[in-house]
Amino acid sequence: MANKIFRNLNHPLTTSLVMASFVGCATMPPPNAELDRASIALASAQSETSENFAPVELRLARDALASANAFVEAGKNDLAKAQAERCEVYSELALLKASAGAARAEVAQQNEAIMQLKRDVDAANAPAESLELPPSRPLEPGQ
Amino acid sequence: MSTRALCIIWLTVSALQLAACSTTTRDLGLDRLSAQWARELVDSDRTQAPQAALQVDALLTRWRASENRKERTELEFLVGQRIAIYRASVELAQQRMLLVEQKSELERLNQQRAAQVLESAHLESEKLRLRNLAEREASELAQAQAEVLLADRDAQMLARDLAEREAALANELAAAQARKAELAEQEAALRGAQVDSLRAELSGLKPRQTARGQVIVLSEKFFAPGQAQLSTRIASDLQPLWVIVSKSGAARVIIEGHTDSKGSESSNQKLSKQRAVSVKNALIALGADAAKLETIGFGEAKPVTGNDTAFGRSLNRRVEVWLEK
Repeated sequence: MANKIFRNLNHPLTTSLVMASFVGCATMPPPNAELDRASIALASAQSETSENFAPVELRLARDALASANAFVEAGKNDLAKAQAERCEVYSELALLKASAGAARAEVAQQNEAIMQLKRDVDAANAPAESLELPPSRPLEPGQ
Repeated sequence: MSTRALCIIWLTVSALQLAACSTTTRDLGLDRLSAQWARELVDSDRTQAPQAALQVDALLTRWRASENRKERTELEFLVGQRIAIYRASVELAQQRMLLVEQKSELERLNQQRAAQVLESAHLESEKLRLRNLAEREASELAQAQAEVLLADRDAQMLARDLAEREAALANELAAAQARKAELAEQEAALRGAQVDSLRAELSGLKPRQTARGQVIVLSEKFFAPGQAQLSTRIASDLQPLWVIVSKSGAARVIIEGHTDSKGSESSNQKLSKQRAVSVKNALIALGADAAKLETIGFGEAKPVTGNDTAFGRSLNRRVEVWLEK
């Protein structure tokens, strides 16, 4: 029985079906649109602010784009697409983290300015020093 | 290796590949991220990042519907990252809201501070003005006090000086009064002596006989110096002259006035005439008949001697009473 089965597997039609099953799961056109979006997203995310507040995400985005391009070169388009999408997501995350970090820093700076102003206002509201006038000097007899 | 073995290996690999392409087993990653997303929504307000929330929801829906293992693996990564993006979006929205609130607070505080600065500047200016005013008033007061002291000192010095002067004047006045009294006494004594001398002269009057007739000469002593009037006390004492005139029986009495040559001729003539008139008036007062009395002023025209010496000039100054029958 087993021999019968294995004999059928050697049939050319069966071989073609099996090969088609391999190719059907892995073959797809190059993800050009995803790569373009990834490149644009990375370019938008790259800035000094992002380097300061989201260096990991930025590096991951760059690595993902590089991997995507490498997979395209290697003909592994499905993996290239996934990496391009990762690059886009990492770039978006880097951009948002950078914006949030910059906003946080600005909030802290504004907060310091507010505290300083409040201190100034409180100091100015403190009881004012009394107006001290110079005493009129009485004349000594014989002056 | 036999063909049979190769077939078994191929079937196993194919089965594994099929399992990788589609699986329906329970996904622990999906459960974990779904729970994380639920917590995230509890801890945050999805309206602050609605787009990011919708993306997570869509990915989770895709993930739940997907039976492709590779796709599910990729979706797990994407959901995790999208949750992170949602978190960052929410934080960004919150920070932006904070910034808006801070901007408003800063604006309010800046206005308050500006008002304080303005008020402070105003107060400082007013304080400076009052201080300057007080200093100026103090200076003026001190100056006024100094001036008062100086004025007091001057007044005291003046009072002392005045008192000293008054004392000196009083002394001088007393001395002057004493001197005046002394002089009055001397004058009285002198005048008494002069009157006595004149009276003696009058008592000793004797007419002198000349070719023209009798003449009685009154010396200048009967007149005040340079004056036409007779000496006051003498005017009433011409009784001896009147006795001589009345007893002479003269029909006409000519009274002639003479002076020395000092002064102008006209003034001398005028003075000599006035002195003659004075003698005439005195005789009238004693009872003489005015109709018989005649006066002439010769001035310096008829000197009895030269005017070169004081004695000569004193002799020339005279009144002659001529008695004509």
